[in-house]
Amino acid sequence: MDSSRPASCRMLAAFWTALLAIGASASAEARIYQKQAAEAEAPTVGGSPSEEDEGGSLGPGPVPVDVFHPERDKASEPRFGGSVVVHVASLPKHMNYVTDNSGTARRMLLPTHETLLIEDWEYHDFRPRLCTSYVAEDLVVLEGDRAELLERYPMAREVRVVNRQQGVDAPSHRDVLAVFGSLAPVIEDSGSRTLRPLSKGHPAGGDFTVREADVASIELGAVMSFALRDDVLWHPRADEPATHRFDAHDVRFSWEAWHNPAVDCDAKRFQLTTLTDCEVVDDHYVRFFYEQQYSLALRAIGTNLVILPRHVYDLGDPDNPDFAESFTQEEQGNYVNEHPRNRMWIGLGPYRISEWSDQAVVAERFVDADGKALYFDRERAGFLDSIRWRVIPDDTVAMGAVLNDELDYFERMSSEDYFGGLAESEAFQDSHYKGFKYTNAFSYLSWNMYRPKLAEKVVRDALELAFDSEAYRRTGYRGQAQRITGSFPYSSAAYNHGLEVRPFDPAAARDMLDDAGWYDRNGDGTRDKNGVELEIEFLYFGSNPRSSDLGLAMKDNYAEIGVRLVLVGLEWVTLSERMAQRDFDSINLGWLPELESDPEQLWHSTLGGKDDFGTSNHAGVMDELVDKLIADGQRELDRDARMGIWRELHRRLYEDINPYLFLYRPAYRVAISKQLRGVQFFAIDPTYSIRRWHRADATRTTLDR
Amino acid sequence: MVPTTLGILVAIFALIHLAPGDPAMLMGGGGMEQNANLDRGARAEKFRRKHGLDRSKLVQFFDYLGPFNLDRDGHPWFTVRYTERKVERVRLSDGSVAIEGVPLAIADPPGTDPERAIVWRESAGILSQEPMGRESGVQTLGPLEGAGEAAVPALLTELAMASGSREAVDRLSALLTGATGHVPAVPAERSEAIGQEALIRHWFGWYYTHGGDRVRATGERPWGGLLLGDLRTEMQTGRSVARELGKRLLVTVPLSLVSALLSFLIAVPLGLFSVRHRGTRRDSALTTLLYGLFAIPTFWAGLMLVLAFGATGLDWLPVLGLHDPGAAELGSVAYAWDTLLHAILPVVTLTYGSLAYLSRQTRAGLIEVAGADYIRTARAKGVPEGQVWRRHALRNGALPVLTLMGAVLPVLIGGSIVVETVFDLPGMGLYAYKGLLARDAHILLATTLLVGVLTQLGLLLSDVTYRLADPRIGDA
Repeated sequence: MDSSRPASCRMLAAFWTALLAIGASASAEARIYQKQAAEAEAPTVGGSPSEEDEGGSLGPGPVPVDVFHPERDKASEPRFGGSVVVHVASLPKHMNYVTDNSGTARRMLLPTHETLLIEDWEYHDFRPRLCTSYVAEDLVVLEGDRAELLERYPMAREVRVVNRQQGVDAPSHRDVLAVFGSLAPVIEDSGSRTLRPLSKGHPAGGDFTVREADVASIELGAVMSFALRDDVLWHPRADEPATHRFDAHDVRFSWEAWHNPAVDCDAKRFQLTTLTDCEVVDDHYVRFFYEQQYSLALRAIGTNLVILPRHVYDLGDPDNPDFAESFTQEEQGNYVNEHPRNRMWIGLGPYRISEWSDQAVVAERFVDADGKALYFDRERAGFLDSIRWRVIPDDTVAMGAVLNDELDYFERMSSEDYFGGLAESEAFQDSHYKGFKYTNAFSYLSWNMYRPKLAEKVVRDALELAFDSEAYRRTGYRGQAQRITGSFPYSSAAYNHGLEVRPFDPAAARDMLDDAGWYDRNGDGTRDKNGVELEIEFLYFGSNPRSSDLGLAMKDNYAEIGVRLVLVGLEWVTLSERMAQRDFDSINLGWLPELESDPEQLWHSTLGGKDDFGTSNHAGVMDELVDKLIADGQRELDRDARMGIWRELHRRLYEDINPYLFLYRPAYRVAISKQLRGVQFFAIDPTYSIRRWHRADATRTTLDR
Repeated sequence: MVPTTLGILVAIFALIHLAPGDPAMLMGGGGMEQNANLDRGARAEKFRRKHGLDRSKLVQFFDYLGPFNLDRDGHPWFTVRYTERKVERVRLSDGSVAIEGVPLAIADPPGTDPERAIVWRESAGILSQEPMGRESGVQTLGPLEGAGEAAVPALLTELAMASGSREAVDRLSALLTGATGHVPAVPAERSEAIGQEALIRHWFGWYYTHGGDRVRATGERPWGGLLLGDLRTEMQTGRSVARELGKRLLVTVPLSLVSALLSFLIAVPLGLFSVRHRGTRRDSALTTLLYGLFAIPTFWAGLMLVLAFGATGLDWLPVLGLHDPGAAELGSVAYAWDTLLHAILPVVTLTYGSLAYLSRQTRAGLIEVAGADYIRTARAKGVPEGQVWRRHALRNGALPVLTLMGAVLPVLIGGSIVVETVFDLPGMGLYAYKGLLARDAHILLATTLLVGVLTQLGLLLSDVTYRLADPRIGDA
């Protein structure tokens, strides 16, 4: 994983990549994030969607407002007040996102809770939210005699780092001595490196040097410090005054919870156990240590670390009604897992949860007894007074609720309703308008490359050529989808837009299969080779009519080239089991990646072994170059360089391996109340921000009631 | 009734376990989560252990039935095979083998003084947490050092969770050596490969191969199971099945009772009308109408009612849920009115389908008695025609309908997935369906057993009603 570049070049690169990692200028002082710059308002742009605009905007930039609203040309002045009813298809177990990995919980937390940073909806950079500034420093891992090192570097501390000598197949950790600070370029052959402390409470008073001979490795940007706001209040437990302020001890406790093996967060723990330490410098300053240089570390700390209220969840906090003098890790873990406030969430956002039932979850504006908003940032406190997430599992019934004006926002309109009579009906048009949006979700058909008939790339290529994806895009999706070639979000710079989709060419597919020795030897109409028939099982979620339609279209196409497709629709639990056991020929599924996510989960060989159970590398990709590109991308802090690596990974997967038949990025068809204004669709999930919405009929001019 | 219920339990239990699909595959969304844990196998195993799904089917059955809790915290009479206690033999480069065990929480052996066990566990817990700024661990060494081998489960349990702190691992390992006399010899090759985890795994390997592979249940919760009314918890959410059933019965039972009552109140007079006008055009028209209603699919009818009476049509009635969003703030009369309005369309949808069947049963029963001697006698005595039908014919002719009442009730209480889906009602039908999709044996067993028991009670009820309506049956 280490670069093979000369040491001096590496150091220079290290310095500059560290700068780029925090997106600041070259001067050390300027590396501290400037809050004012981050808060520059994005202009709003109106306009109607055109043919060219169907794919949604690519890359960061201003996003138009109310783009499908019939009165989009008439500006609506935001006013405060009113409520919105948003459809959700299912309720999460609860809202404690530490122990519930549901996407719905995450969406509901957006207006009701806060994270240290926020990924800007339009510009996609990380901006301070619970912090006022943050700074990244480099970790220099030392080697040599421990006592001597401690004498030479009194500012050294023990940290856990990834034991890289073991290679990627057997990641493990070791405890080492290290120093941290901002690495400056060094004069070659000086034999030492200078580090400049940037964060508050740094153990070294000023610049200090480290002998090159003592350096085992350098982990750029692996130490991150956050200056926290001191004006943030936790929601109260009930209708009592809000008195608890958010501070560094909440952050530290949250970090501890993620590390407590008894806390039921196995699905996500790996994201944050990579943060090996969280140090409380003072009540409003924390410092995190990352186990290695990692390009997505800021995202992990800034947006994935769910902050828990210590006075609610910590058994050792005297302010907790269940305070205990002593308790085990397991008791603390169970307390977090089963806490009654996991549903009636106590958060930090402008809205607080006021009702939870099987039918709906309601969040009301966080105010004091006089109606004064208590959220710390009045500019981002939202316009609405309440949000109601209405649970309706069945989309047909939900559409009925739209027609009865019981839902303000619904994003699962069927194409029949969207293009058919219901959207044209008076009841719909009186109260709602329709539109569509693109997300990062994409569908695919994963080939099981361990099946002999699908092991040859030429077969997988031929199967792609034989499917008329453009015809299906026009008929199955009514044109509201894009054919894709890779797993990176279409809207992100990681997606390689230079790659062309393989064209529909059944003749070429036939030739390729003939040349590869796949032809019909026994006259049954299906190609075969070495006694294996080219009959492919198409596994799909039986309740998804789009999958069965797709399967039928593919079946017809494949029959033309002598390949038999057998459609098998299963309910989710059975499908999931067969997927986990890699017991399929092909499986039709979809992913919803973050704007930038680590591709290791999908493509790394450590997860692609034939007997690896339940991994996300369904296809069984085992490729050294793919592994190398993933490792390089994970360590590359320069965003542009990293995007280049991801694009090369995209190319490698599509052109050289082709493990999936990458299918479509479909549009989501939405029904929105005409009263709802300020609606924008972003590239970041869930593509909308309720805080930006307001009601056209709202009249209050001030945030406070 | 008891043998029948037991039979139902066995049949449902067998069906659930024979059906394909593993509930452990569903935890956290079925493995398609964004940025989810890569080791799904380990998570699935943990889920199975938590719900006892790794045990033999027979043990699972008797554990569900009760009264003995056979789970790991169950009755100490029963030993529990800890399938998860895996010993791994790692071959080293020099050809030797390192025996390692998978770290797990360890239960105290039977006969352990519970008060002392608590002290040991607390002490071990404090020791392992000391680096996290908790209580000082100095005074906690005393009870552990004096406990000898009895403290081993507490120390091992903490060791399993102490991988984040080298100091804690070293402290616990030293105490284990003091308690057992075993001095851990971890091959350097393993330490280099997996760090302090090697020492932890060594201790567990040693423990499992020295008698720790089979232990008794802890006895913390000796009793449980269906016989004691324990319907367990939902596997995915941990919510009490009994409580959830209760909430859903509060929705389903009132709607079902009203619907059943309405069905009989409408169908019996219709049957009477039909038989009194037998062979006329009115009889034919009524029969055609009722069969027409019978033929309409419930889902379609529900949606049509929504379209007709909701905002898309007449806008007379609410179409979703049982209450308006702000209903909780209404006064009791307004609340009841709100409930009544919301209940109209679901009740109509639940009711209309059964009218044809019940009225035809009534008609058939009445035709059978229409020519009976006592009817002729009543007419000969000059009893008015209406009274003949109501007092003499109906009482005897409607007996088959009473039998139906016993059968209809449990079906209605079982809930209607379709009606609950269309009108968005959190009732029993959807609950059972949710359990089926999630392969949640606890939900499925509870809902099917409830319907099974209700069916038997319904049949008993109809027998009693039969006896009351016709004293000859009892005499016979």
